[in-house]
Amino acid sequence: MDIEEQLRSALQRESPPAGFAQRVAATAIRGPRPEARGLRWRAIAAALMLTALLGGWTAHTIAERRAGERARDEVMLALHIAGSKVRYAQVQVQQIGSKGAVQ
Amino acid sequence: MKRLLILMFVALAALPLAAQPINLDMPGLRDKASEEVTVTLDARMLRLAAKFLSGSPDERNARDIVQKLQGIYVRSYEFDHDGEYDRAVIDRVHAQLGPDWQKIVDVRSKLKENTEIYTQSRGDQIVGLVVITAEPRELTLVNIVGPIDLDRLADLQGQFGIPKFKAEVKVRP
Repeated sequence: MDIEEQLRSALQRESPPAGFAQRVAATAIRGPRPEARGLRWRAIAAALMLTALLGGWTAHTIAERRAGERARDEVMLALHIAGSKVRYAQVQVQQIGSKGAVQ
Repeated sequence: MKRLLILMFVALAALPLAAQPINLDMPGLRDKASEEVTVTLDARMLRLAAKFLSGSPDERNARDIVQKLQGIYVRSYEFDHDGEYDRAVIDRVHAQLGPDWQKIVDVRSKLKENTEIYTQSRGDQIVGLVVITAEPRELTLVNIVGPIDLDRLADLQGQFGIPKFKAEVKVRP
């Protein structure tokens, strides 16, 4: 059998099996099978959960950043106050020491 | 089981060695003060703050100090009139300082502030600091818990600008 004959045989028109059109029409009317519907809901639920998780994580990150920046400002203020008081005391002690040395 | 018991014994034995914060919250002071600065930072908050102290050299220096600390507590009050606060407040702070606390500085001045500095030491290391500064119209109490280098702390004060800090500074009309 030559190549043309093979092609003609492979591409020749074939009628669909009996009841094929009715089955397609019935599926179109009935909608997807219950398993497929369940799968769709699961996908939606997973997407919602992922969105909620991402949202929660983002909110947590923002809150932590704000708390951290506030803590940083408080640290700077506290060290400024503590440092200035210790510095003042050191200067006073040094002045007393230098006066004593002069006398 | 034996290891667990040993670990528990070591942990219990180490408890008194851990420096404890001093209670600086004195009743009545806040009501009389016209201006108040309150800073309360425990170890967890200090670790959090350390993550954000990386911008300027000042912040990096502060981070080096803060990383080893277990707490920073500051109460500073300003009053409208002289002698508006009860000096017994200072005695209440003194009363909390145990025998392991040592007064290293006591500056008395008629015109300026009176400053007392107390330290708590473990060996050569200062592990606790209390600063009491009393003026006729101002009272400042500072407690730092954890290993601290006083010279380094004093050096920091000259480098800082006043930080952007609004939330904890309460100015009363």
